[in-house]
Amino acid sequence: MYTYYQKMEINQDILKKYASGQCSGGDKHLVEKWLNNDSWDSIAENKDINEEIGSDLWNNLATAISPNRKLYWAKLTAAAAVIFVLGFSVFHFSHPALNNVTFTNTSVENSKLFTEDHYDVQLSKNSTANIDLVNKKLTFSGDFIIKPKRDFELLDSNHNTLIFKAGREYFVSDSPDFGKIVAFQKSDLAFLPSNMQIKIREQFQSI
Amino acid sequence: MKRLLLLSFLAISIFSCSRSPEKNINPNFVFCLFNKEETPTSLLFSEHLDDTNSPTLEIPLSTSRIQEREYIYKNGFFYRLSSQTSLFKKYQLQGSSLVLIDSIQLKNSDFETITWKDDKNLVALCRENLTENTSQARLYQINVAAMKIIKEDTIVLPFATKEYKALHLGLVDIENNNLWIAYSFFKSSGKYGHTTSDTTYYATIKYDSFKLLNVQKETRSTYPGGFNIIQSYSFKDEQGDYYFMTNPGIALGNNLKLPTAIFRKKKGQQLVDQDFMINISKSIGNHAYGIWYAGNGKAIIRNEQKKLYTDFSNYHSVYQFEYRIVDLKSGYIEKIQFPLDKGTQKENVWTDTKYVYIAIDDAHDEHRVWKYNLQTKEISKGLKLPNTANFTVRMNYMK
Repeated sequence: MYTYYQKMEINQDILKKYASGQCSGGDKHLVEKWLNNDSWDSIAENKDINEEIGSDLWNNLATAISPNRKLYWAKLTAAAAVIFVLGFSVFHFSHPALNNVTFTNTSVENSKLFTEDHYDVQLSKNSTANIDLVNKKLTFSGDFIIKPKRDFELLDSNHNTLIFKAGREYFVSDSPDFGKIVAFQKSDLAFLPSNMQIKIREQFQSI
Repeated sequence: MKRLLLLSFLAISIFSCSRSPEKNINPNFVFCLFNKEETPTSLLFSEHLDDTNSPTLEIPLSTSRIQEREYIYKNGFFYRLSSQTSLFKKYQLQGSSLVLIDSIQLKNSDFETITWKDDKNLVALCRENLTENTSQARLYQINVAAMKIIKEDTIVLPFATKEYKALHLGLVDIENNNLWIAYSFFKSSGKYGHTTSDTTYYATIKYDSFKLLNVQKETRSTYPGGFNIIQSYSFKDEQGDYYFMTNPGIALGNNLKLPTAIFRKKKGQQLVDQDFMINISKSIGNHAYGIWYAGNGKAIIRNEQKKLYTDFSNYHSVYQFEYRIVDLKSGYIEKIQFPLDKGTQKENVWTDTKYVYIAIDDAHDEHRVWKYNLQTKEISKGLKLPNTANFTVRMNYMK
């Protein structure tokens, strides 16, 4: 029996495109699925990916560096400067403002997903959360999963600072079962007793 | 944002490629590494446990950490049950890739405890209803050579109470065509917590008919064994006597008033030997999890230190775990002077006749195999693991 992921064409080209932000919507979705898939066979064609990407990038670097070194670096520096200025201005002038939002999930059965500019948040049943990026404060009851799209820190109601990094995924809970307010990453969750993990998985099918 | 993850993956690939030729290594050991900065988990293959600079091969897995360390290694193949799809899959290392060989669909998504009936037949027990309404176990016998389910049935284990009705399947052994299962019951407390009742049960069941032959009760300790595809809780010695531990500490059973202990079922006996019990908690003042046989009547245990952690928020991340050697005859327990380790429920101990090898993640952020000489009791350094590692959650011998 073969799974959907296995049929996926995850290859060198698609990974390079993904890394440089040139993937089409469908391909992007496939790569992201691959990255989050719990299955080892998501590394179909692993050998090719490993060796070709590794050696190609390595070779490219090696060949690029040897001839016309000064000119190459001048060009590279200039290009980097342009990209930096462009990037900075885009970031500076178009980045959405920090906000202060309250989320509520009154459902007694299902979790609920909210998509914001700076993060996605999935509230478990019967949970509320106020995420105040302006004053860097978090007040909540229940638990949620947050996927930050930028780095930020929030002070919880016990005056502990919780650190959130872009691209990661955090399980945040005020359940006394953990001792205090926790913001666990996936690697932390793997160390909890299995019964706790099963219950967290039941709350959030996505984790 | 996942580009960050992808870039990390590329970085690992480049790092591995530039470090060694990576081809045609004939690995004797495999490590499962949870890496820093939430980069993908990886398997690291090595020929030696000594610090010899011999080539290693590192294969990144995915970034989905939950249950990624829950695999079975046997005779050249890796087996893994997906909690998402309930597919039981068989992989093999070929060159520098993990290749999917075959898969079969099961109805359950979590193995609780397993044993091998013989080299080809895996016997795995699952809790049938994870939402705690019943006390039933599901048994699979899978021929892993043919990847076929040979036997599959529900076993009803008695003595659930109204209060403690959720089943914990802790240990399984097969001897003389009898199935022996150690189990206990737990109840939920709060949203995520649980606590185990005061009793351990040992059931002997005719394997062919699943007829229950007898149930033995033990109240001196509880929560026998644990998820043994994560960590080892039993072994057989040179005589074939079966030793196992109970784990009522916070990380597993969470019934803290009862002690962690070692028990024994002698070869050929259906009942656990009532005269044998090593009370670990009484000896060392802490709970332990994990037991590995070192030969000649000696076993290694891994213990927590309650003075060093506060609760689950830091249990796995503080450097608290010690290793001790237990004399099974006298019950004498001696500490091995290794650096303190971190990480809950690790499978990181291997022994040959001369040394005990333990992969430790120490407070200096050094990830290394340490050696303990069973004769001289000296400790020394072995293989250094990549500094990209955060937790070395498994170390398996591959031969």
